[in-house]
Amino acid sequence: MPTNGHRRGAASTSSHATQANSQCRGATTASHHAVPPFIEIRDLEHVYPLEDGGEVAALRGVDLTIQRGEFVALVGANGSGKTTLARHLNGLLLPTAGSVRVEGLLTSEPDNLWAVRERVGMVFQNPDNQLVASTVEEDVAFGPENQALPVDEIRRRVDWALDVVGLLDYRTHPPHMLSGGQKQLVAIAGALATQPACIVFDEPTSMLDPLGRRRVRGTIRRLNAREAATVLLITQSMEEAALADRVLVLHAGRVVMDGPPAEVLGGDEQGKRLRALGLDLPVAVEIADRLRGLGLALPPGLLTVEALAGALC
Amino acid sequence: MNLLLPGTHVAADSVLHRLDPRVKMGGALLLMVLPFAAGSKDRPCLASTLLLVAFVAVLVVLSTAPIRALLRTLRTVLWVGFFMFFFYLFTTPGQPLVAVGGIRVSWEGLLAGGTQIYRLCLLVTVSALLTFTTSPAQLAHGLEAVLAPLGRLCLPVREFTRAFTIVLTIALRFVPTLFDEIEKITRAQQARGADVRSPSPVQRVRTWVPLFVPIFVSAFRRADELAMAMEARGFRSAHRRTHLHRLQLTGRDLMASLVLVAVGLAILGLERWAQ
Amino acid sequence: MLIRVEGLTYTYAAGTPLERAALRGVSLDIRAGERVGILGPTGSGKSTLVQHVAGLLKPTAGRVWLGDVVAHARTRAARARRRQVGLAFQYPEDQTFERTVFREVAFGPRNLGLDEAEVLARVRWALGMVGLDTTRVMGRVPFTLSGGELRRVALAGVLAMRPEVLILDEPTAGLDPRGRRELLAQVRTWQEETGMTLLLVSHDLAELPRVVERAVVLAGGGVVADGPVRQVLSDGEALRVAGLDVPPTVALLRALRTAGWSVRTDRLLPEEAAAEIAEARDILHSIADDGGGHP
Repeated sequence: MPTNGHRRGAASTSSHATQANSQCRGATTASHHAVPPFIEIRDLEHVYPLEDGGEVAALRGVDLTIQRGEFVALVGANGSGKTTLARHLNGLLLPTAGSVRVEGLLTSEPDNLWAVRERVGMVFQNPDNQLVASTVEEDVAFGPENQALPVDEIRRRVDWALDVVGLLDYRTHPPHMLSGGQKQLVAIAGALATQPACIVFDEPTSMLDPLGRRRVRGTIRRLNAREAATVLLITQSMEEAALADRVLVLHAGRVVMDGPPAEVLGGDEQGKRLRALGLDLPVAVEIADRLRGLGLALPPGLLTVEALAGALC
Repeated sequence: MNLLLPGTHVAADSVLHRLDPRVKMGGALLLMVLPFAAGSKDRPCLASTLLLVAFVAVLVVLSTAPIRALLRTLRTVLWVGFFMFFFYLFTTPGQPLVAVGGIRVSWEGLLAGGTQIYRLCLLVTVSALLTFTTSPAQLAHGLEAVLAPLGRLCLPVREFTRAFTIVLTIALRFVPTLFDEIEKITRAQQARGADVRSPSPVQRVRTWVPLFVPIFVSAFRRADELAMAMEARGFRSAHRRTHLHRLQLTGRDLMASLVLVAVGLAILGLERWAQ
Repeated sequence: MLIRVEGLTYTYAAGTPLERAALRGVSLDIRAGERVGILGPTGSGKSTLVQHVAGLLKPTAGRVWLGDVVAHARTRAARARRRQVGLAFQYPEDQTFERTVFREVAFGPRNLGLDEAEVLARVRWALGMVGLDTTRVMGRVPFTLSGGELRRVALAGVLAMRPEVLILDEPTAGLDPRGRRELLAQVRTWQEETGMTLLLVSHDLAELPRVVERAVVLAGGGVVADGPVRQVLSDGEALRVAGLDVPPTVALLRALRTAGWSVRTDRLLPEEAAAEIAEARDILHSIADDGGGHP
């Protein structure tokens, strides 16, 4: 994540290119092969005790690596463990077995906790329950204030973060006068202000109206494409998942599918599997499947309406 | 604006609005205590009363607060004032002016009662002025700045003052949100037939549980989520924090403080002299 | 009963600096048994409108009639009518307060003054309608249920009042795709079994056509479209004003139309769109086979 605003507006065509150029904290300029994964999860288990003495395993033996600059979508039905998994990435939850490493730092080491949180930011589902201050800029400043940064640095970061999400004009607005989508953008700016290399989004659009969803999705895409942020997007929306470089499907605490969206969301076999898991396919994929059933020959991996229209014409 | 209740803040650019909240809080405190400065006879002398009333009147004008709203507010508290007035009127010993049956009204009584009304009006006006010219967030900042030196004493005190100020900030930020939520839950339960507008007080009490429980549950859930979000952004209660906005005393603040001290001394002096 | 909204205007915080017109002169009629979808962005007044229909708000101007009484009036007749309108707010599980599921669902019927036998019957019926195992769930503490189950309990609480008019404000908000599909299918069943009038506020354009026959689009406090759901959801202009995109099916059909295909653009459901495309493709092929000149 750049430490000042000069990367703003610099469009990049691949996340790898920006990865080499960015001033991300701890970024190595050595060749990509030598770069260790940004997030490394091994055999992660998380077991919750129940009131009546039993226990439930929210996560069972998850193995996962995420590289810098990746845009990963995590989908799964309610109860599949996706939120639990997300909370392990910044140490809000600790493993009952297995390990989670962020840039080599073990999250279960108490001394590492704050360093981990400086590397992994998080945006939650409920826009209201993330905002603590009486004005937008004071809320965005909360993170840098916790880092005890000097005032001018805080000011710089706040202005930069608000500019990235497009809310610079709303600096002095109180949060309760913003729409849900705007509040969520403020939350994103607040996460950005601590300049983490990676941001985890836990169903950020599920409480928003279509307009808010569009704005937030656009911002998330920009963060990955232009600001070189590593993004983990947890979502119920297959349309959203289709935006990512890689889609993970979680079911009953395990990763059951892992691959590019065209592969995971685009096929007929996978479609049946996803539906069996309680998930949906993007509408374009559904229509394409039906058309194939009606005898039309279509290439695989058509995820969007545009792609499908293009293939038909 | 209908009423200028203590608590109503309006963002404006008056002389008073621009003052440091610490100066305003200290000044408000001073002005609320001064009416109780009494040289003799347990009530302030005429001169000091006039001075204080004139000074507060000037402040009201400077603050650009709507005077009509203020007067309407004073009118609503006047019924308490009248109760006190009559209490003092009839119970203060002194030369009787009028005696009807066993009830005696004296000149002293009139003055004593009048003093209570004067004090009440001044208290309400000064507190309304404070909140009118100072946003809740600024008050919280001011309080935080005032308490900060305590933080150097020892760790528990530091933790307490930090916790106190962050809790205050969050509480203020959520006041409008909570009001909205209360309204929403009320209407939702009304839609299920709960009689929230019932004339019968018994019925009204019955509807409290369907309102309180959901709001409490939601408040706890909110606090839990908020705590996670705060931790995710690196909040540690005992750890040192810096601030985006630092309160700075300006020349104007210094002037205002001098004026307040001068007025205070003048009033105390007048009381002394009246003895 | 016929629901009539006449020139409904509602202004929040009138007379203060925070004044905001939530509804401006909205008029529409809803016949008994109709299934109406209400769409629009946040701030368009959807929730305000349906709260007026339920008689919870008093209009700043205009009137809402439930049959022959004014919705918000304080008369006994109006109160009786209001009891026949059930409204479930967004995230209805937030209203939960009782110790057991039974008591929670019974809250509404009890407020109607029904005797305990009738209350019990209604609770059983309502829990069945939302797809919960009555015997397993009735004695449980609501807060121990999952989010999806609690939502169903909350909806059962409204159904148990057996309203003539059921208003649901975004009932699928926050549910996963399967949950959304199942719930809306259930809503359709409820309406078919009871014949009640249905007002469904929703963003879920993909599922809406399966449940409602008419769609009303609100934007900026006014009605920008009102008609059969197929017509309204394929009308790009009205939807754009409301900050909504046409459903993906319509977008696809329009793209094909622009490319010269002769397809109808009001096929909203994926299966309909697929059939329409396949048919048009067949026609295209048969034209090609005939070497042109086919009518």
